[in-house]
Amino acid sequence: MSDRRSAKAEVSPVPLRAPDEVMRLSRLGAFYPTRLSFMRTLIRRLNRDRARVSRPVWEIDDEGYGRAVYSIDVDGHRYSLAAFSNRLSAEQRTDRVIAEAWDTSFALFDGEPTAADLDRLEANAPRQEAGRFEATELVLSRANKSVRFFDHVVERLARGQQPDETLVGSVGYLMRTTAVYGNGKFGIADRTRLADRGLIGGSFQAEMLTVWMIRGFSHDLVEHIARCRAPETFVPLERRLRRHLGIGNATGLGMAPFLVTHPALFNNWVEGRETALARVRAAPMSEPDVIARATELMDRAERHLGQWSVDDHRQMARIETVRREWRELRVVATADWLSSPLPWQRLFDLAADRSAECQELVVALLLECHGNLVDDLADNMMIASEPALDSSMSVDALLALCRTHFGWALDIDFSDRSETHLFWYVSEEKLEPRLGNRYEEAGAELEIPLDIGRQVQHMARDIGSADRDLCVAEFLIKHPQHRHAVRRVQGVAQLPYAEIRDNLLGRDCLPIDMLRCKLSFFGASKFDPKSDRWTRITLYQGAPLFDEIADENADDWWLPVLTCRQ
Amino acid sequence: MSTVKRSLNEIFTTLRKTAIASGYSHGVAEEIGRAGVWLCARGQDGAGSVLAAMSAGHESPVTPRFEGAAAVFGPGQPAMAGLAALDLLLSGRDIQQVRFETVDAPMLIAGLAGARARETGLAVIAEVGGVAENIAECDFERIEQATAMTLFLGGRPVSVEGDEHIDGAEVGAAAWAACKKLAARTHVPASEQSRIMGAGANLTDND
Repeated sequence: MSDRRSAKAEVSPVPLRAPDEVMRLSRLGAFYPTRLSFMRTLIRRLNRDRARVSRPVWEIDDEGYGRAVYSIDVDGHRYSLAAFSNRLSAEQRTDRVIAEAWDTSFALFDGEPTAADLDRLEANAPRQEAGRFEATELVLSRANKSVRFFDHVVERLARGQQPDETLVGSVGYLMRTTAVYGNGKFGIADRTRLADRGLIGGSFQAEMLTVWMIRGFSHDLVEHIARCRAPETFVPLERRLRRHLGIGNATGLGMAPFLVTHPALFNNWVEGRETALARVRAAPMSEPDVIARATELMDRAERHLGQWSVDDHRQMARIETVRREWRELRVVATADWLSSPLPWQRLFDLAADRSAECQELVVALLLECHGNLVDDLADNMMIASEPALDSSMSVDALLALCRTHFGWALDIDFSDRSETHLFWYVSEEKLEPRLGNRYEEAGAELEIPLDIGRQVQHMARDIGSADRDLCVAEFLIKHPQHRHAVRRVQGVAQLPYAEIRDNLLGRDCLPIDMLRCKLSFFGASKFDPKSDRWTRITLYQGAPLFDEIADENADDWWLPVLTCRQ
Repeated sequence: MSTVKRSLNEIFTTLRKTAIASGYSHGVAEEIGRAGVWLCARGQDGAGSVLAAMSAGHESPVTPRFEGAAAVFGPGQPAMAGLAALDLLLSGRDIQQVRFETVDAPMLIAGLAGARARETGLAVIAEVGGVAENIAECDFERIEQATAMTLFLGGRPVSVEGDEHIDGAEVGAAAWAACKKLAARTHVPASEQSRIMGAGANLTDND
């Protein structure tokens, strides 16, 4: 079997955290964005390339309806965001996938669209899943206005005033995207089209580029409407407020299955992050400038936590805990304290008996102040190929892998109804992924196979009663239903961080943990859970604006805080 | 034949669901989906081939007969026989060739072999009517007419190029519609309860 592990062909004096520790939902659901998150990677690259955004088309009427195009060159290719803004009645406005109309819709076009392309997209993009697209379209998305705040900003700017800063801080965005589709959906390009495109071919990079450009469009749109309403009194958004306005996102269960259905890629994401952590922990000493940076970032993180408030009681309690714990850490981890040997290992250890939120915030902090040590790992997080099935493996070896890597699953009593309480399914309504109660709702016979632990346990049981001299090929002839489990078990032997090591069917499973994990890899912050299976987040808050992308400090927007007027 | 253009991801997803709706388990259905994509990416009727295989068999264990270094498969269950044959061929267990005495869905067998060859980087040779060809470069017309087929591993590695850089593929419209109809059976019918509770989110958001 070839070695496809990608990120850690290196010897670090500090071992990576064990998959049994990292790959638990409670841990994954406490992840914070890091400098290896995909938005950060993208912005660094755009900054390095001194990318320029142009706006070749702006056909928006005085009320803000019409179409626009933004273009950017990356790695020798031009990409254009085609944006369409339409009227939407209040009763049509929902963040759910089952919506059928939106305030705005978007397509990332490969190249610069002609007028005919724009006409075609204008007829299809607003219909989203009901539309039909071509391989020149790379990403499809839509967004709704954050209505009350959007109207507030228009009104204030038209009157010559800046928006209420409390609202800017508490809302943080003018629009919320409700889906960002890539990889062949509804006829758009398969990911393979981007395979040779450098950065844009990497994990969610085209999607992140799209969202960054949508954010810029939302800024332009709100100013355009205000300017048209009262050209004599209009003032533009103050730059620091504009920069604090990211793009919102409403994310539901649709995001969760990806982490299970793309084990090799997920492994590379987590392994890259863990490798980065190990490198930093291993640093014997630290330079004064790095220590100064760390203390500055600890202060910023404290302010960020102070500006992060949510209605969800569970998350708010966690935020309050991490606020307190962070202050405690801050008191100990002074510049002097960090000047002693192994500063980052000691800071990591200092968080060990605190909450997972606190520990993972420390992880993100350690990575943030060591770009020179960790940034190269981002490349390994961008791509992955699933290992091939090895039909020559003996079932004895397969069983040993089960015991080594799926011990957590072999111990679950799946005859206990609480361990099979949930089932994941795809609704016929716009193929929205949903969760049901197996014992109260119809449809469990159509559940999608996110029950990796249960599958592996069943396979291990059948191996136990099989001839141990069999190879996998012979075993699968008799038990073809275990083919999926064979691939998963063989895969995790090469990709230790590929599997979530928890029962995703159990009554206690919180899908919100999967959402936060994935969104942290995107670079999202300000997680705002609305239930155990749906969250709002903010993307690109504090990120450079179009005209700031080449600035020296374009990468400095980890855990954004709203700064006071100078 | 009327065709529609679909992305490779759409083709994979739909054919995988077609197989699941036809009673195949998830792991087997994935292989069938990959086989369909491999065929479509080479201008072949992947959807029709999958449908033909679905009507020619179902998921249940197959029992090959062993003749020296050959595993021999009888008629029926082309998807299961194809997968079992390739697993044996790639297992290194003294199986030098696999033979299908009567092959019901030869194009699906070719698709399974092609996808597996692409995944492993190994050369799978298909012999039909006395002509042996690397599956990656085979004459699909000959394969389509096959009533019997033998597979063995070749000596030289194959290029893995094929479906990496194409923009979707044409699929037969009628077969595609039939596959979509089958695939829809894997979706849970909507209900008010699932609409409200299943996603855990509100239905309106005017804040």
